[in-house]
Amino acid sequence: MAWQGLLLTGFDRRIGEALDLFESSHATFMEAITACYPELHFCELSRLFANLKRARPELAQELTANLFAAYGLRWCERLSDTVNAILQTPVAFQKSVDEKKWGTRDLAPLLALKSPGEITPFLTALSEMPLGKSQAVQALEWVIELYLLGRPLNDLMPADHDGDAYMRRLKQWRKPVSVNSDEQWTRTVGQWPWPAHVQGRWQRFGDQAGLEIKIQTTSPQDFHKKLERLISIRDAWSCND
Amino acid sequence: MQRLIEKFERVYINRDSIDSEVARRMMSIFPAEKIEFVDARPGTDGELSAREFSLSKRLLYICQFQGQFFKRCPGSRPGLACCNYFVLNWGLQCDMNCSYCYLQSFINTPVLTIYSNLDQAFEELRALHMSESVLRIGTGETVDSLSLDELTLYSRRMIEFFRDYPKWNLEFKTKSDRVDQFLDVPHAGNVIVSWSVNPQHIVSREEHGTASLAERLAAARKCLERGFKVSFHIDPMIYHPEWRESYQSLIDAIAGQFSPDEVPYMSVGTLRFQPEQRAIMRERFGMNSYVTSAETYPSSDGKLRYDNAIRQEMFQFVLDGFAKHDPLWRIFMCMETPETWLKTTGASPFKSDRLHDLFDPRVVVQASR
Repeated sequence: MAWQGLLLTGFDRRIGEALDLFESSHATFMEAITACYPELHFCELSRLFANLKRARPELAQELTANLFAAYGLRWCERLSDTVNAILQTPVAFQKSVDEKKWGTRDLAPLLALKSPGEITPFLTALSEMPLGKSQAVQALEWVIELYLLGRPLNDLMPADHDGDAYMRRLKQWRKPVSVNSDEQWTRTVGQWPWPAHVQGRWQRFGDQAGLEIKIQTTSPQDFHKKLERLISIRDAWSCND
Repeated sequence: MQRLIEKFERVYINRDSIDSEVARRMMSIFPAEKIEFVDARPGTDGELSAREFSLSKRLLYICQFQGQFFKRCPGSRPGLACCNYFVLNWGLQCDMNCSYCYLQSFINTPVLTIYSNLDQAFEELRALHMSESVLRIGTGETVDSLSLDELTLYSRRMIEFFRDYPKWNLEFKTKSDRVDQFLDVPHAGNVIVSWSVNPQHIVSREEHGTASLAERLAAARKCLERGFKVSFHIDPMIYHPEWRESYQSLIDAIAGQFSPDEVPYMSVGTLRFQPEQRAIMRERFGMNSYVTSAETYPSSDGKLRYDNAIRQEMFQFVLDGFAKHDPLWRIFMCMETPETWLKTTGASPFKSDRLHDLFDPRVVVQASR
């Protein structure tokens, strides 16, 4: 498919003719592009826009807002900055972003950099890490913040493919005061005299941290006994608080 | 005044406001080449880029406010203890540049707006038919109450209006030291001029373009000398390695220059912001800021805050610090959860008699007797 000589699909074909939707059905560019691509992810759309700007700058300028609106995005300077930033990232990262359906706001940390090219090795590595979407989004933010805080990029690269360990390491660096405090409490709580069949652990609940207690009990008498023994836990906590 | 004339690159006046007092004043103050008459707000609405947000502080726009002026304090939401007052927003955006400013996640218009129809706000107040009731009306939520006041002189008009309603209390809230323009206005003793204050180290590092701590305290003294009430909001407290020393110096400066009977109440709050604000702060101020580099976690209201234990420690430090100077200092926690009240003061703000006073709008009157 093509529109006024611009190839819209079939980029891999070396031979044959393309059907020009303008010639054949007087379709507008927007009609042609949305017919060929009813859905486009953000990075795909950004690349399409960049190519259109190169091939037909006047058309790109005229259609910018409509083109992005057709895929649910409101054109503004911030979105323009995000498009420019994503186009400077490695294609592997872009593909990962599209596959995981990142939102444009998820990419905001890139805008804090002079150029996303500064962290290309990390972006490539991130696309290969076994992380869920929210973990990957969080990793991007923490790495960029730590990089801007002066930590060398080499330190920030994943050491292996253990995603959870990587996230713990980044959190430890980004939130050292609260992470150290939580770790200290975790050790302290582990040393308390927990009754049999009662598990207690230090847990973070958003901006608060405290004890999460799991009790296995078989009768009201047993329950009462365990609660009585938990008083010593309360006393230990009071001593440490 | 010259600093304001130089600060603004352009003054847009909507044709709906050409005959307003504030527009006429702008036309008399600013050179003609800076003024442009428009039919609609310049630029487009929507999420602003960092560049657009910074530029918006230098583009003044005068227009009529279309809507209701009076809204309840944003603290009055389920789950948040609130100091219970109304807010009058006569503008939108601020000419100063604090790194933590919540307007960064709030404003979607690329100009600093001043509403020309202040009279409508007065009409709304009159229409309440509550002249015998006690009301507390704050300004300074979406625009600093006084930093632009030499341009608008709105403080004078508000003080004059509130003179006829002695049971109502008007609060200005500012980080500027601009008070000379209203000090001569006769008032009914119901005007509180309040300052957001922080240690000078934080002012220098995070509150760009604001008056120094010493200038703010000197301005407060001037107001007291003219019979205005003054108040201080130690908000937002910002955690940093030397926070104890910094905030001790602030406590000493306030307690050394003012007495509890001169300051009916103070509030204290710690850093908090909407998660979506983090991006624009990072772009505008980098990571070399105590705010962008802070360790924050999502709180029950969705905002990011310091760990609760740190907040309690900071609140307790301020409460103890003032108590050491004089136990009569009255301080409440603004925009804080009841849980933090409980842990810091040992009482719910809604159950403690002493603390309940602080949520009563009559407190200002009571404290001034």
